[in-house]
Amino acid sequence: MAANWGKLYIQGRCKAFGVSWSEEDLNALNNLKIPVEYVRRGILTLKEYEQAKDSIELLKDKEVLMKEAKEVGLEATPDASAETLTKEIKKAKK
Amino acid sequence: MITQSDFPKLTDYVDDIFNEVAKTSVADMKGNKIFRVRDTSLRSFEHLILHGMSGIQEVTPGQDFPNVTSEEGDSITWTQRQYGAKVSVTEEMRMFDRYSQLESIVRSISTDAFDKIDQSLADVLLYGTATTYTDVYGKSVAAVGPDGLALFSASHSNNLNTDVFSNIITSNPALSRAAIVTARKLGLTHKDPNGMIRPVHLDSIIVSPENEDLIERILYSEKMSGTGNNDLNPMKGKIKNVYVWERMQTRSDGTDTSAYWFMFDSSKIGETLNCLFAKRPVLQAPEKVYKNGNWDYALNYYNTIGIGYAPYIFGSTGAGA
Repeated sequence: MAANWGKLYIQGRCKAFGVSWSEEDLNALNNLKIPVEYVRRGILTLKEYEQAKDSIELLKDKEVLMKEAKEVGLEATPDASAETLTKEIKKAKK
Repeated sequence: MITQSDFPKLTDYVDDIFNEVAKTSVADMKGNKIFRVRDTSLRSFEHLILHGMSGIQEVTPGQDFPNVTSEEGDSITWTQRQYGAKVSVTEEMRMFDRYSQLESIVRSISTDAFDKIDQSLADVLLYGTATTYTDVYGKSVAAVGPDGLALFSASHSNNLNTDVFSNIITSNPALSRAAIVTARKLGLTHKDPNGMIRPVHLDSIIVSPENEDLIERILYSEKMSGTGNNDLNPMKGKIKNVYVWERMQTRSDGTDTSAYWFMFDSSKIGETLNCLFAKRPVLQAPEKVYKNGNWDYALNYYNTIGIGYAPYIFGSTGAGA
């Protein structure tokens, strides 16, 4: 059984490709309303979230990233994740 | 002594044993009565689920009907896997006419195939809160639905909004009349992501032999069972199908799962539980046989099990937590 992990990842509905959210992750997401990017980095409590809030760079919207990728000459397809795009754009800008 | 000229007759004999086992095994299986069992010619079968689209709108004269797309849905791919075993008719068996030995081997291997299929279906429910498990064939399998979560989850998601739903019967209660009432209410009040009530009529129940007596008392007593209350039993006649599934007693890793119980909507369960065969179990005779070699009959099948849209089945481990 293979879920559409690429789509689920982009939609913030799994932890990583092929890795489901755990009960603790789901609690942080659904009850504590901690954003996906933070939960993916293991931030599961409000206290940890408050501390990490300013130190983690939130990902830009995928459309924005695709535009930026084009500007820096990156041959990216819409299948690329926001994390990958961010990383590659940074590399290309250097 | 069985010689090469007896091969067609021997093949008929082996086929008869296999067919007899297949007939009785299929009749005894419960999984094939619960899961939607279908044949497919596709190696990878893509299943689309829709969470409950809000497609219908009022249409004014001359206005085009609104489009309905699959954008709201999730998809999952179920890929066929091959299973098989060889039944060897050895030279010694032929030389000494060991029909009874041959019959035992064919009977045993054929029974094993059907038992394994039924257990693999039961394991989908019994490992229902896990996202992966070791199946009855000893292989690690993914056990997620289209939302990337286990079959039974308190947080089934959708791609329309952040709403979630649970198909775990609240607090995993042990089987009881009150717990069935709770489950039925959960099903009847199920909402889709658009906030529309999409009732799930939990009209079927699966229990282990451990709970056979209890479920029959709960469902079939004239009065309410297990209470001094003399009211008529309102549960009587509400549950259409009761499956006392032997394989609910233990799952394939030997864990006692006798307290587990499940309720499902018989008209929609095919959206949730699927079993697809690209090839049903068959016993194939060897194309060529040699006087001194083994005559290898091959039993094989192609099969996959798929989890779809989850709300049509609710489950409890009976652990009370």
